[in-house]
Amino acid sequence: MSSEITIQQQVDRFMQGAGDALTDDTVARLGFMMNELLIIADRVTRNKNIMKLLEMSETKDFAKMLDAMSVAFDSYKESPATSGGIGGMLKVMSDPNVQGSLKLLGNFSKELNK
Amino acid sequence: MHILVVGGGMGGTILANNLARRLSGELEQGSSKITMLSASDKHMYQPGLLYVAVGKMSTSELYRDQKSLLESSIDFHVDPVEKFDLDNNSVTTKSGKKISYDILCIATGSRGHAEGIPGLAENSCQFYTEADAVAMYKKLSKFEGGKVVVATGVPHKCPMSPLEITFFLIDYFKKRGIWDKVDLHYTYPIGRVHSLAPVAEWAAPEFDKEGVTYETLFNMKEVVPGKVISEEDSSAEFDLLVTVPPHKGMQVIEDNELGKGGFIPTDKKKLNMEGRDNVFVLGDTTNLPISKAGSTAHFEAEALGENIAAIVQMGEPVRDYDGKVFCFIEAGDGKATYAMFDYNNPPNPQAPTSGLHWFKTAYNRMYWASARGII
Repeated sequence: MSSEITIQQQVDRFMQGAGDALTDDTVARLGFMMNELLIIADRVTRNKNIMKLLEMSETKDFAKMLDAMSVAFDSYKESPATSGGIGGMLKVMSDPNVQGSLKLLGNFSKELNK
Repeated sequence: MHILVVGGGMGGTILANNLARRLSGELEQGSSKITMLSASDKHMYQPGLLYVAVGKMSTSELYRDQKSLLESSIDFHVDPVEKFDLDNNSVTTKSGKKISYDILCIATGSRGHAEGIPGLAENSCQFYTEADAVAMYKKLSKFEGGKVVVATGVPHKCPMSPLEITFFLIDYFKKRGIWDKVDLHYTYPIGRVHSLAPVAEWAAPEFDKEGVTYETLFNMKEVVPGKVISEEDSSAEFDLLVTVPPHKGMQVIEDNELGKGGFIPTDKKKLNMEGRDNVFVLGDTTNLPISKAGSTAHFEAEALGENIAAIVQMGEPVRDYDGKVFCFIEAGDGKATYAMFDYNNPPNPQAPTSGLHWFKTAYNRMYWASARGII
């Protein structure tokens, strides 16, 4: 008789071990998690807005927006505190990039109000 | 087209969600509308009560907000119907609102009616309401041994519950180490231990194996302290009586004279109320001679959802309900089996396994996805 065990025996032992290791509590928790995942998946896949967002997330513009946000946050953290006052504001406003950004925000706000 | 669903239990909820999915285009355009009227803003997973009664589930696991289970396109109100005016296609609610409909679905459910048997409510443990299930667990936890009798009323909700509670009691007493001090006696109203012959053939030897005694053709007539007396003039003495009480349909169905005992005469295939083409009935509310179980309501709701959507979209129903029922049977010792049957095919329960017990354990927590119409 060979001491080797067959693939079927290995599978049986694995299943037996997995079964013995499980408890009602574990199964209940997994069931609960599966329930929540199913509900989330159902909501996400049938929500047109989320699907649109996912579609958008695959565009280059979306990636650029995330990059821009990341750079803006970094630059904000690294830049010295502004001195404030009208002079400080004029200095910021004279930056062409800031002007471009304000235009973008203005367009966004105009679309929202339509 | 206005579809009105009366009742927010398992059947009503699955049906409303099923319809909301199938008619999403019509609902968005405003050409159709689904309204649900319920008696409560909470939804209870009723099969969990059996588990609460033996300390296997907590009461908090039984409830979710009804609104959270419904598709957002369903117009939900906690305002139960008090008057049905089927000739004029309208209902009147508790708050006094009159609501018209094109299609009405009645899924008001059923209720335990222990009061129908003198002395039963006062002298027994039951598990068909949260309060009863908790009270039963408290009583069980103080029980130190003696004669336990399981008795079943007719008709009753969930055909497997007399067997399941018996197997759960064996488990419970074994775990507490008092099984040798317990004498468990099972009674059943017809001439075998279960209404479905194949299930009875499977269950009787299981009882024999555990030393559970049983008496068939035992219809409860009266219960006095320590003794349950049958219509057949026999009796069983007990220290603890656990009962599956007789059930009735809801009072509102009786008050409106829609059906005897609160059960509405229903076409077994199309599920419409007899004599009414635009009134449908499902779940425990029907008078169909099939199991009053969650799975029955579930499968009926799926068939009805498909048919009502077809009526809205094409003017004709497209399928028949085939009587499908799927019941898990918890067999104790961490094992379970199941019975599946329909109008034409009897059940054929197999030996219980751990896998099926885990399936049921997981399903107890996955029910909410089922109520939302996902599984």
